[in-house]
Amino acid sequence: MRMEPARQMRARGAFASVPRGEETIGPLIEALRHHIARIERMEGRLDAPRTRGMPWVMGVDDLDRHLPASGLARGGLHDVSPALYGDMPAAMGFALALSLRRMADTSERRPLLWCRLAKEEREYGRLYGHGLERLGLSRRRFVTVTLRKPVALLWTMEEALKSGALAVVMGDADGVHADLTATRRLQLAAHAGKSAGLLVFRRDEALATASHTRWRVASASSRSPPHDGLAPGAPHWNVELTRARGGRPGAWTLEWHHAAHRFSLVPGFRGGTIHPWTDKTGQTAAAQGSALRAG
Amino acid sequence: MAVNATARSFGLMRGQRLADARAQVPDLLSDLHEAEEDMKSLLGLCRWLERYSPWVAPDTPDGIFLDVTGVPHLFGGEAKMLAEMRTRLEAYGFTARSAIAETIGAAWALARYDAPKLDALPIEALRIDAESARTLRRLGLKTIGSLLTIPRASLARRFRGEVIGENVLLRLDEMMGHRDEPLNPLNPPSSFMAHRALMEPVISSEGLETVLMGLVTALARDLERQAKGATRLLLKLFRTDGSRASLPAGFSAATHDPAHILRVLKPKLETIDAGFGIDAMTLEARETAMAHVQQYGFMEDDSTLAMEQLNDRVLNRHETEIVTLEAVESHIPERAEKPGRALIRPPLAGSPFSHTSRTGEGKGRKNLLPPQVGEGPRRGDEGPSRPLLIFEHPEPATVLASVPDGPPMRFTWRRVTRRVVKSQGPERVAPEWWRLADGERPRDYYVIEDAQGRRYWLYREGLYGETGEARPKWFVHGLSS
Repeated sequence: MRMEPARQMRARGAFASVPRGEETIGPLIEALRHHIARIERMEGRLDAPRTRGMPWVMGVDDLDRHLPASGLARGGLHDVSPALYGDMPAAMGFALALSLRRMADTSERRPLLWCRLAKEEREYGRLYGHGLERLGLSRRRFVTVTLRKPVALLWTMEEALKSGALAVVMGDADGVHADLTATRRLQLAAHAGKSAGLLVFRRDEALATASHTRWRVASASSRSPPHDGLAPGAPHWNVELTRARGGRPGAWTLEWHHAAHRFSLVPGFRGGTIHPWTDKTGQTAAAQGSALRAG
Repeated sequence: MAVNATARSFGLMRGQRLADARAQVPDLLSDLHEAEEDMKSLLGLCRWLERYSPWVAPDTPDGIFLDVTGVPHLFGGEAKMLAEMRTRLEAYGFTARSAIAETIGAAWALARYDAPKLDALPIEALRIDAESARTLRRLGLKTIGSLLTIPRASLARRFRGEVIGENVLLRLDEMMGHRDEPLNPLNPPSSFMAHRALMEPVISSEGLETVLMGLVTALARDLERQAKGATRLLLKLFRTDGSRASLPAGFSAATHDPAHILRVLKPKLETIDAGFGIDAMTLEARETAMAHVQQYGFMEDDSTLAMEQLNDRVLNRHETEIVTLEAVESHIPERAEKPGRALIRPPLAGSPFSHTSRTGEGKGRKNLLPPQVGEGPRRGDEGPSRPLLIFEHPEPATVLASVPDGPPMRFTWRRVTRRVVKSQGPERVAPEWWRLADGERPRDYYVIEDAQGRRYWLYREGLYGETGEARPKWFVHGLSS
């Protein structure tokens, strides 16, 4: 399955003439993405998502363009980190939303396992089923386990991914040393069990992980519902895709519609001061983080 | 006073008084008798003897019974087994006397008194008290043989109404096997067990794993044959130095899958200190249940089984369980939920979500989910807002509000002050009146969003107007995404 030479030529021609409109570049990109997808399939890459069913995409065209053509790796590891300490609940919420997109597939009947550390439960609180339902996850498809040690958490995640009993295995693992070796193990386990692994942890940006994608999440001010101008609305997150194998990074502000299991793009909020991580000095960020932790 | 062999060589005797003994041997070493320690070591010895037979009972203060029915041939016959036992005990420094007989009474007697036949045994060998023995001796009945020559009926008549008579007859019948005597084992043996005695002590973990594999396969086969599954297993490892290690393992669902059992036991085996080597291993099913037939509808896959096995591994390795969060009928937030067992509910099927209305996906993908009904008590859109995370113990916060019973404008929690941008509330949660004794007060909940868009779930405990100790207090109860 190759592109015929003529089309290839045309593609090259299109690149040669730099100024072009939306109408020419659209189909071209589409063709290239298909081409890349075919190459990936032919190579039989370990991480090539070949599972049947719906691709794991965000449902927001603007964002999906940044993902690999076939969506996120359904049997792979992804990691989500909060921009700042206080954004941990936001990161957890986003990771859950991401999982729900994964579980939206009708051929997927397995539940979600959320592995937690006792220490984290004291720090951020226990998971609350009623709250999970408010984000769109039925408690009938949710199980959780609390572990005492970070090593135990990684072990459990690996076993859970390998077992194939779960659609998504999440772990919020602040303080877990999820280095290249650990994440590679999870990656292989996820592939073996055809389950998606999601690690939610505050990560040192320099730390290399074997994840397919890395997301960084911060809370964003929500839009109040129309009937009450003072009340908080559906959750909004500033989401940055910092690394994507087979895709490219980007940043968006997303709103999560829990009833529809759908993201929508919030155009007005993009950029500006709302992204805490755009603060180059890191002063306020560090101060806030340490103050919170001290409390 | 009890004496050892050295003391005996000086002419001391058991039952002598210490003062007399001191007079005889002035530099006698003596120690207080510690009955508890004796009992402890007796029980230890019992456990060690379980390597020969699972049916071991201590006979206080100084004996041990073993039911060796069907056992001796494993050790090359009765004589060989006894000899082996004696050699091993000697090696550990015990002086032991042993005997094998058809009845408990006979074995007891033969182990304690030297006699070629039961008839020749002294009357004391009947396990009767000293008083009865003395009476019988006075009557000229010095051996069991002489007692047996007297017709049973006349013996009974002679001692009618006396404790001695009943005792003697009972013991005699027991010794002769006319009456059954129960033996209560220290650890009731399981009906499913596998045992391996090793020719050479094994230290290496590979070696132990190989033995374990054999045990598990044998046990699993036995279980499967009777359509049973084990819910609790006990692996006993006998070390060469006589000590024993036990590894219990639990299963959430009865299983006879050797691969699964092995997966659970193997990591435990790694934690074992083999000492100078393991020379016997026993695997017992302490609790069994009917193994439910693994059968699933064509819509379900075997993920339920996989889930059970995953839970077992987590449970056995980290002593924690995979749980669900079950909704409880209570409007007090922390009581509205409790952890539930993840595995007893029917296999997960159908409805993946708490909500069913699904709009079109990106790129015009069709929604393939069939409409679903009966999703559960609450849909996400209904009811009040609830946080993703909830604190076990609500954390106190300092709040500045524009009006005393109004929503917060600013609050300080964990030493950081946050400006409230959006808020929703109050949601009044009154204490459950049938629990009022707890001293609970009504709470007003607010959903708060700060300048950064972070969400908090705060409540004010107490009502406006109360002062002093009862003045309203604020708490952060949860965090939302």
